[in-house]
Amino acid sequence: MKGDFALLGRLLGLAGAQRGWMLLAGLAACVTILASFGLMAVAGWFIASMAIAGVTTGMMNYFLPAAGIRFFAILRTGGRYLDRILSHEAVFRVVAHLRLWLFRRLIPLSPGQLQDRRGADLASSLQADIDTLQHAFLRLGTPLAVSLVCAVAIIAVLSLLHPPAAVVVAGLLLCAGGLVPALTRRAAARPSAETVHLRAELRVALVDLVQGAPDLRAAGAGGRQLAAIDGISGRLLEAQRRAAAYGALAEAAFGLCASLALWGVAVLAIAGVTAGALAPAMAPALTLAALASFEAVATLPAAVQRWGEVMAAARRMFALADTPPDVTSPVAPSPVPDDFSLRFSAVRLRYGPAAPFALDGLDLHIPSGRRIAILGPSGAGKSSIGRLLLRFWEYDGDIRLGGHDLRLYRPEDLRALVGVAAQETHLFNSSIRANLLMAAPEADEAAMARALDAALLSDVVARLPDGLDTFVGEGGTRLSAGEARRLVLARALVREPRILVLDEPTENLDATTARRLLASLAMATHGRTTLLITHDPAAAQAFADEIVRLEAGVLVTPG
Amino acid sequence: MGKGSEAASSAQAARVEPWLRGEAKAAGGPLLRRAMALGALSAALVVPQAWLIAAAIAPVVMGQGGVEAAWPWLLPVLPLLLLRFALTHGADRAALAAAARLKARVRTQLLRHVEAVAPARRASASGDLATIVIEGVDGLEPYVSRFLSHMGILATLPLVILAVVLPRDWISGLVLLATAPVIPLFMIILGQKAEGMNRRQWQSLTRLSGRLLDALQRLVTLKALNAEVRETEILAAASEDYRRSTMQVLRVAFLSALALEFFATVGIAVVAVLIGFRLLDGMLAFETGFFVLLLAPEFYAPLRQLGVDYHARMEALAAGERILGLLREKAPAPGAARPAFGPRIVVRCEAVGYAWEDGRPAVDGVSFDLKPGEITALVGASGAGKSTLLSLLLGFLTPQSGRILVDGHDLRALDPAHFMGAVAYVPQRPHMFAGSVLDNIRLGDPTADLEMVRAAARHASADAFIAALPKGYDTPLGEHGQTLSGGQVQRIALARSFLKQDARLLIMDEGTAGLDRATEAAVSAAVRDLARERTTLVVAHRLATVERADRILFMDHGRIVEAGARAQLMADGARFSALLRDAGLAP
Repeated sequence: MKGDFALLGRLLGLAGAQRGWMLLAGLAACVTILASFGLMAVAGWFIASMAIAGVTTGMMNYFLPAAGIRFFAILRTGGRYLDRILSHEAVFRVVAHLRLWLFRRLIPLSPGQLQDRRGADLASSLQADIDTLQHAFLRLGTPLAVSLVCAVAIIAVLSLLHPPAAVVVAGLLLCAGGLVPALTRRAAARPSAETVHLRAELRVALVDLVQGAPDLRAAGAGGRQLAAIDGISGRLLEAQRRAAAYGALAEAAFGLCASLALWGVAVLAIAGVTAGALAPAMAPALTLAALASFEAVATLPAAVQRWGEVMAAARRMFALADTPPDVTSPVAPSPVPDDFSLRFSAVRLRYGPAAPFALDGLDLHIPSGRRIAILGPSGAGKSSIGRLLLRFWEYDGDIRLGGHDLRLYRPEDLRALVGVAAQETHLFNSSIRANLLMAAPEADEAAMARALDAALLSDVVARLPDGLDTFVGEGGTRLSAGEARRLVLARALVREPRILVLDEPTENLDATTARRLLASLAMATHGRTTLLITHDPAAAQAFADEIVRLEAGVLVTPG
Repeated sequence: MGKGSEAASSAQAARVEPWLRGEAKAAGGPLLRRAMALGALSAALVVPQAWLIAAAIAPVVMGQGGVEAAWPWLLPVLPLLLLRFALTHGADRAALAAAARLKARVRTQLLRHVEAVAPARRASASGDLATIVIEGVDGLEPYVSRFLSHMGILATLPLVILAVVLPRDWISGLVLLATAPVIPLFMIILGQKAEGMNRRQWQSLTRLSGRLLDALQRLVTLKALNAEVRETEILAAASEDYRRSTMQVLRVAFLSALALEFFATVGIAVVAVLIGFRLLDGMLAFETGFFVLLLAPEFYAPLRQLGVDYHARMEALAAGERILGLLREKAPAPGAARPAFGPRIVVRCEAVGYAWEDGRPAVDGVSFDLKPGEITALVGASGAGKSTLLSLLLGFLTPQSGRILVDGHDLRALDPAHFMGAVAYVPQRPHMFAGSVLDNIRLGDPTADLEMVRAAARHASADAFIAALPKGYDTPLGEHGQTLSGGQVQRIALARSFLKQDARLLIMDEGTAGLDRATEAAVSAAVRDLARERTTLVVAHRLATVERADRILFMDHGRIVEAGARAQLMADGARFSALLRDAGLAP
């Protein structure tokens, strides 16, 4: 629990400059709650005073209390509106800030660090966590403070009016807002833990159902798998229902506490009036005020219930954000390369501690300005070379660029030197121009035209209705697969890197276009160190000065 | 484009609520009614509670009694409180039970649907499907437990309070009644304008979190282009844009909340002031006035609750939308015929065609025969349509044109389970299920004993490596179990097929993973063994497989472009020999 508060503190600390907004939102919430308390108290006192005046003197200065009632009513209405507006404004700002903070923290991580051990994307689970953390601000941080401030203020006012009533209300507020939710949460710990466990089990069984669907169909075992899943799901629903029943118990207890406060204060007020310790008109005032005071802690039971979930999400997010990057950037400035040669010596790489080696002792020398084709079947480790040159993965062995250890270069300097047109490259859902400018913000029209020319896209772009400003769609889906590949190529070329890695550039092209593209690329890459990665021997022969063959992560003798 | 899709999704959303309501009623109607009734009863008991409190306090205020006189009024309040507590909790429990029934019902539907469509889907989407089936279904709960179950109180409590107040104090009753039209009015505003606004706010919140996901998934590309700093700026600008436009909408949308709050609060204030003046003039008994003032906040409480529950409802409807989207996906309609197959099955494809949703043909008018005792190898580049053809032959997809005849029966008309009973299928990447090696091999027949399983494993050359595993046949596999190599997984799948002795048709999608020479020989021998006496189709990736095939089908762009015996194709099949040459398999 203590660690939890430290965690909440860190989260709120992240709110940074947006804390002012949270404060304002909290203030508006306090005003709303206290206005309602004031309204009920004054209304109770007012009608009692009027009734007493009615049977006694018939005289009463009603302007002030009537104005008070109107004042509190308007304060409450306005406060509620401001509270809604300000709390949403605050959460929008805080969560935007949180996202950017997280994004900046995740940038230095290698692609492998953004996956879990099964290779599934951590980003998607991260998204759910951030959505959960929204609640940390909307329903945890500010409400806790608001509840505390309002409860203290209410009890202070009550203790001025009638101390015994203040004691009873304080005790019941504590019960309803803190004690009962905490107790029921503890009672729900077992079904909650069971829920987490069964949910994981259900996910495994479901992924089996989906991924193993053909196998199940072939074995005629689909019905059995469904029955097994129904069983797990049934147990999960039961555990969830039991955990939720405790939450419902806390909510019902909240209502019981509020009614008990009403009753207890009524008893104490009657006793107070009888004993002459309290003005008669205060009895209804205190009774109504006691009931209204429970709005102060109304958000707490839900906050206590969500506490564990929010903390777990925060823990996961911070764990990922605090991961030290696999590939560290050197502190010293990058060396100046002597030339643009590449030398791999005994390079080994694998994508996980138990994974097979994708590169298993690669020795390869590429002199500056030379064009080399790396030929081999899929899965032979060819695409790993580009990832290494961009410093996405750490490796064993030695790679030298321009005579200096690759590890001495800062990744951003390296990425300015090396251009990779990789297979896993995304196109952005914006215009062709924006895609090119994303790679090279300072590129002018002529540079863009040259790159498109080299990738044989000039004609295609000329035929498009909006030319360079045509949108390419999500992941480039408005282009044909071959056009999308060539736009990726153009995007690598427009940066005019000194070293180029072209990964399967002719994929999805018909033979004639492929031949033309290779010829065009040969012109465009003249004088640049270029690696052509392909499984097509004809392409390799058409393009490269030299061909090497990669199989199972090692070079085999060309032939 | 944005507008169109928004309109479409809003039309979809309009269908979600009636569907969800119907499912909730069908699943747990009596429970739901019980929850509503108990909740309404508990809420209505606030009336006697207020009456007792008012009766206890009034004489004291008017100087007509002390504590002793108040106890007879005060004491009955305690059992009343306990009764309300019990009723509320009973209502909540019934609502939770109803919600659990709804979730079970929807999840069962989803699972049946997923099982039906999954074989033809790409495995990559399995995470998404699992999320819809687990978290999506869980997300429906608040619709019942928070929203529907509170409807009982909303429908009864204001009426009960009006019925009590009007005869005693018609002026206060009129004030409540005058502000009461706000209820339907508010519902209408909520139902139309604010609904759309809330939806948009909801969508932009989701979109905003989606953007971070996008940026993270494109992080590799961004870093390769040294564009991560620029993307950070874009992300910041997008967040700021969303905030600004959403807040503009919200400022208006919250006006409905403002109106509700205004009428509820001002209603109470006006009731209090009017009661006060009539008390001063002696036109009303204090007890009645206090009683009415105690009830006034309760009159508006269910409306306030509705505002609180609104987010729960939106969240549940968003979840429901995704579920309904999945359920509305087309599933192949299964046939029912269960003819007895002969010992030798001929499979005949007649001008079979299948196109993707965007109209691109995947399989384009393919005709061929598979004959008993023959091994047919299907070859072609990736994307040529081999997998789709296989899915059609297995009945995972239904041909859009032409037909497939199995032993003379149209595949479409056959009961899928009956047909699959005659098929041994080895997928390209066989799936290992959470469970032991033993259970994985006897997947199709859990009653098979260890001896039968071992015999099958021996046939598949799998027995030796299984025996060498840490716990032999009891070694756990799957998500949290032992990881097997591609070759080992294939041999387990082959063992599954050997166990299925009645299968007349063998369909195998050969793995692309590199196998060492000994494993390759073992797998080849096992396949040859399995193919004997059966009708066999192999999607071939290895030269050895092509070499021992009796016939070869060469596929390109969805068509069979060359077909025949291997030697014949080598002689006059230009495409086939080019493929072998490019793959480095021929001179």
